[in-house]
Parts: sequence; structure tokens; C-alpha cells
Amino acid sequence: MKAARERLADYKVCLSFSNQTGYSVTGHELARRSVFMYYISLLYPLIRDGILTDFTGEQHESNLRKLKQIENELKIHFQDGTLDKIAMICQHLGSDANSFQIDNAKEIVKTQEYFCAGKYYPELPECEKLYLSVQLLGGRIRDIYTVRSGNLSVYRKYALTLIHCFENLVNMEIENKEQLTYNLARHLSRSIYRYKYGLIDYCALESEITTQSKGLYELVKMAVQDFSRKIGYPINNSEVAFLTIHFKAHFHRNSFNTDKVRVLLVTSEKEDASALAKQIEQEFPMLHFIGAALPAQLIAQGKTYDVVISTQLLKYNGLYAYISKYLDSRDKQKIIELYINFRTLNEESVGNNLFERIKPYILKECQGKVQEEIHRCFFAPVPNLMLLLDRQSVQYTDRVSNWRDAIAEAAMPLLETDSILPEYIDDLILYVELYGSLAYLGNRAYLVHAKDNGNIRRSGVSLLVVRDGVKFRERRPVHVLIVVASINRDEHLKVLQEAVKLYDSDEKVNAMLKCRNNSEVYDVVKKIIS
Amino acid sequence: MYERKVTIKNPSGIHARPAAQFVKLAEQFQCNLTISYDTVECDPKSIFSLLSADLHTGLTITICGDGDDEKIAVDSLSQFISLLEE
Repeated sequence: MKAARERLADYKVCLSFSNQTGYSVTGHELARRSVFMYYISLLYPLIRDGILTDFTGEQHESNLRKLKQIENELKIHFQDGTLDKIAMICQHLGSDANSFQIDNAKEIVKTQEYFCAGKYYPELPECEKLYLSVQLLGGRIRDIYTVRSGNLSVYRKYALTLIHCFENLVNMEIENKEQLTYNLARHLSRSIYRYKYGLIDYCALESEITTQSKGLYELVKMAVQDFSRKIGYPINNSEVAFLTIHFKAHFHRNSFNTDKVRVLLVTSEKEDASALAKQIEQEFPMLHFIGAALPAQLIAQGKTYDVVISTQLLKYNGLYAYISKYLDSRDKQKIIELYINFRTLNEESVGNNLFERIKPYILKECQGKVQEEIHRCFFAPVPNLMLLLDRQSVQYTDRVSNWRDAIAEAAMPLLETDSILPEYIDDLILYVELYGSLAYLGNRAYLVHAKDNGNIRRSGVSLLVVRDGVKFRERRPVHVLIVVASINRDEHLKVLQEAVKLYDSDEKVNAMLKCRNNSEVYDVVKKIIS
Repeated sequence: MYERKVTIKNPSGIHARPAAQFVKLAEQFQCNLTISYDTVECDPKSIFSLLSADLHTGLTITICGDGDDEKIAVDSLSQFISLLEE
């Protein structure tokens, strides 16, 4: 409830509780309604599917019938769900006739929508008819602010605020922003009205933007959350899609002028590097690929790049994102993190600034060591095994029935993250049946892997600790089971070499066996690797 | 090849909202499409190309189609622009 109160306070709406009346939401009527319409849009899938029934019922059905008659009379077609949502707010119209005024009422009363609102809802007070008209107009509302006369100054300030929110988030100054400011100002001169009244509108390209430009969309969405708090109006995801279009168009226009991050793409010989680079560049316009290389050629590239994106595990101490060639949502998240890390962790500023601030408090003979430690802290390379094995891949269990179930359970995290297909688990079990003894290294640990018969989507490692142990074919109890999946033969040896580090000593296995849950096992693994 | 000239009458030109609808309409057609005026040329199937072209009010543009459904494509897109009022 505290989080809800804080979110609502951003829009000057107050959530309070009293023993007599329960929870109540107070504030200016228009603010309350725009917040209501914002959350109705978010909850709409649950309402439409009948899971949330608080907003539907007889009155809602009656309003929906009237609105559909209005739709016929206006001879337009509202996007699916629009009339449903307007019908929900209609239940609350007329509650307080004098609490608000609608901007540009003189323009609204000339519209066909206003005529229909009066015809089908004659009982409503004037301001509510105007409010209903505005909802029906939605995104089609005319350009009723003075864009024609060139008076964009108010909206330029909004545009600059939004750009500033974006620049703060990505820690990058946008170049040549005059055109972007102008375009956003024009857009906001129309859309601020929609935010203020919580109007339902749809971006025709929303699904394309949220999938094909997911990275930029997520960044703009974060910037817009900050912007919406500053201007005091909630902004829904369709509106974010529109704003993303403007940002992307700007980066598209300035493709050779912006301060892009230079990326080297590392792939194996068999992959189509140029297609993957193009796909990533379209998704993340702030990145610019300077070329592609094989892992062995990385050192020879010199300092021509800022970061590396690789479909191969690398021996590389700089910032790199290890992705699969499928560029799925996990890969895109890794690229976003890589970009933000690069922008945030500036070698010239963060580490050195911190050192300069604490230097006066450090003995002179220790300063060198402290500076080294700070540098290592900020720029320590992530071991490859930690790229392959994340928190969700590590499990702990007290017991399992048999070794086949143990393999299935150990491999489950890789299946759940789409790294492998179910058939790979069958391959693992077959491998043990055929070659079991090769996988047993003697210190209560077992490593299973199989060939990539098209059943592996991305390289990965998962680990299962079994407290009571499980007997494999060797009849010796196994307490640590490691599953390895490698996308190709070249990668396989590298991945195996990394995985072996997990259990190549009794001390490491003993440390894992002392754990009592997934989280403890992961912390031990992380310590082992580092 | 088939082309038509149309003047943008909408006071706000082709801004983001109708631009998205325009692109959705253009994507339905198989033929290659271009929009041009003066020395500027853009792809009506790309929202970024369209918005980069700054199609403002009063501009007379040429919509050109080249392919099997070129006539219906160009006529539909021209009608969209001539009827645009928002």
C-alpha cells in the first residue's frame, strides 16, 4: 500500500484509509479519472478474460450498448476494448457536476461526438457530456492547441524535460537534439491532452515497436516513467510506443552523428555475422558495429571498439555480452545491461573519482593497492562460467528417486530458460547409459553432457546438489550433478573446461554439500569461481 | 509503375499517430512504394523513414507504386492523406 500511495502521489491523487469507510482515493476529479483509465488499461486483459469482475456488470453492459450505438452513429470503428474501457468510466460520471472544467469546451461542443453524448446521456451535467465527448474523440481530437500559430514554447519545455530524462537514464547527451525537441514538442502538444484526460488511444505500430525495437522501447519507457512523475500525468504504454518512434526516428536520422557505442561482434565462422549485427543495430540504435571477428582475432582488433558482443565464450577482460545467435529476450536484456554498464562505468570517472575522494584517508604506502582494488571492483571481468550459470540454474534438493530423475531435475533450469529442448534431457540420459563411467570423476560429482543434435539453443550450465546423494551406474553416491549444454563443437571444450572448475577438488564439493538451499549453493559457487 | 500527387491538408501534417496508421496501411500492399517531394524520398512502409521526411501541411507529395497492386496501393494511400483531419 505504501508503494501504491507513492505512485498515486506522483499524480496528486491521495490513497487513504479510515476504519469507517475503508480505502478511498481523493484528489482532483480529472486526475483521479486519468489514473483510473491508466490502470484500467493495464488491468484490461484480466477484465476482458473475466478474471477481474469488479468493473463489469449490468450498468457496464447498459453503458456499452449506448456507446456502441454512438459508434454506429458516428460511422467510425473504435479499436477493440476502447468502448469497454469508456463504459467503465461512464459508471462514475455525474458524481460531482462542478468539480472540473474541460479545456477548449468551445471546440468540443461543435463535434458530432458532443451531439451523441447529449443524445444518449441527456441526464448528464454539461461538464460530464464534454468529458464523455473527449473520451469518444480520443486520439482523433483535433489540433486544438495553437500549433498553427507556432506557439510551441510550452511544449518545448516538456520535450526538453523528456529528453533530459532519457539522457540521465542512458548517461549520454543526444546530439543535434533541436529537431527531436521540435518533433516531440509537436507530438506533446497533442498528447499532453490525452495524458491529462486519460484518453484511450492506440499506436498502430505498438506491437512492432515493442518487439523489433524492444531495447529502445524499454529505455524510453523508463525515461517516460520519470517524465510522467515530473508532469503529473500517467502515460500508458501505447503513448510510450509513440514516443519511442520519435526517438528512434531521431537516431535513424543521425546515424552517423550520434555518440554511438562502438561494438565488435565476435562469432564463429559458421554464423551470419552481418545479419545478426543488422538485427542488433535495428533494435539498439545507440550501438554501431565496427566489424566482426573470430575469437582468436579479438586481440588483433586493438582499441577500435568500446564493447564486445559475442556468441562465443571469450578470454576477454573487457565489457562483453555473451548472447545466443537467436537474439531472444534474454540476449536483448544482456545487451541493454552491457550498454548501461558501459555508459555508467566510465574508466576515467567512476573509479578514479572515488579514489581521489578517499585518498586523503589512506596511508601513502597503501594507496597503490587500494587503487588497484577499486579498479578491480569496477572493472573485474565476469568469469565465463558465471555467464553460463546464473542464480536460477543452481538448485538444492534433499533427495531424488533415481539417477534419471536427478538428470531431469538438474537440467530443468536450462529447459525453463529455453536453452535446451526436452529432447536434450533424453540425450543426456542416453549418454549416461552408454558412457556413464566417463562422466564420473570420483569426488561425488558427476558431469553430464551430450552432443548437440539440434536440441541445444544456447550454451549453458546447471547444477544440482543432492543432500542424500543418488546412485548412478557406478553404484557410488553422487551428490553434485552438473549438466552442460554447448551449442557447437568449438564451444564444447571451452564450456567443459569452465564446468570442471566447479568440482575439481574435494574442498569445492564439500563447500557445496554444507549448503541447505539454492541460494547458499549459488553463493558458494560464485565464491569458488572468483 | 503508377503514381499520384496529393497535397497534405492536415494542419499538423503527417505526425506520429496518423504516420503509424499510414505505415500499417502501406504494409498491406506487396508493391514497392515511395513518397517523394523536391529531393526528398522516403519509404512509406517504414515509420522512421516517414517521420524523417518531415511531411508537413501544404506539401504536395508524389506517391509512387511499382508492382502488382500498385494502383490500389497508391490510390488507398492518397485517399488516406487527402482525408486526414487531426
